[in-house]
Amino acid sequence: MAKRNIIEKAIDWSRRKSPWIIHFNAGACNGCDIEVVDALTPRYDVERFGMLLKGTPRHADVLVCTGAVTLQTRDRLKRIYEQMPEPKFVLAVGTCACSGGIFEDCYCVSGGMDTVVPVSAYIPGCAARPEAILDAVVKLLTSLEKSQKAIDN
Amino acid sequence: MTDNVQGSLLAKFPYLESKIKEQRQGRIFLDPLQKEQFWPVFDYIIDELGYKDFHMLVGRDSGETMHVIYLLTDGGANMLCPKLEVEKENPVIRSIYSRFSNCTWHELELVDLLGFVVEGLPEGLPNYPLPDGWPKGSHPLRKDWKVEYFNKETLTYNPPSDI
Repeated sequence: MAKRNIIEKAIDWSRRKSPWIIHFNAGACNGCDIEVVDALTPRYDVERFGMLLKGTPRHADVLVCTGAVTLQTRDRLKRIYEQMPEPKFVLAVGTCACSGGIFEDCYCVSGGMDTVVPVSAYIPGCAARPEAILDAVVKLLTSLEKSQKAIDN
Repeated sequence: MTDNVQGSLLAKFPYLESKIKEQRQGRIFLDPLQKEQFWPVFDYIIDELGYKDFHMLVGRDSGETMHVIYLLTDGGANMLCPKLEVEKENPVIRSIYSRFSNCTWHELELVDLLGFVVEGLPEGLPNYPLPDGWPKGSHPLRKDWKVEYFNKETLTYNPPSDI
């Protein structure tokens, strides 16, 4: 792969240092959503790592998605994913988002997040703890840094 | 107080004999009634006995017939549940919208999930709660509906023809 110039490196560095996120509920019971909010607010304060919750997918790098994907939200989730600029990442928060959970075979549920969009990191738990969400974000950014370094070297 | 309720119901409607059950203090259930017998009882419960709060309603597929269970409360801890029975082939019920305007989404659930036909609902209400593009005439809470025959990708319901 071609070596990157200094501007591309700077863009990647800034993306790593401040990934903006969009939160989407695809049919969760609100348990995981509360934990996402807990991770964002001062108790865990994920904003100190530069993570910022945005209101629009066009500004976001990471889609933080909770809940089993219902048939009604399936097309909306796809549309939100397509609106995000490249490169984009998806965090599946909670057991339902990972696999469909107890709703997997329900008549109105498509299944886990990976039946609709490609998922970068799975965060199991019912509900997923804020520490687990932080851990997943750190692991995602670490793997991003590793792959960027591999390109440079 | 609930003894008075049972007494007045029996005095007014003798056909309710052995159809009233008090599961526990303040929880009175009536056995399913056909619509000719049901609506006078329903009106009497609300207007005369004072069960003026519409709590919720529940639809049920009992196999041979369909039931609607109305949960009415008196504003306190007492609940009275009359049950309406209709034929499975022709499940037409009357809306209680004129009395309780908050009944709409409960009754829309009956329409979508169990295939009831509700007369008297306002025009222009959306489908609820099944997703857009759900196949017409397919009601997932009916006993004869099987999730194995439902295709989630194309949203079609294809039961084998020999059933």
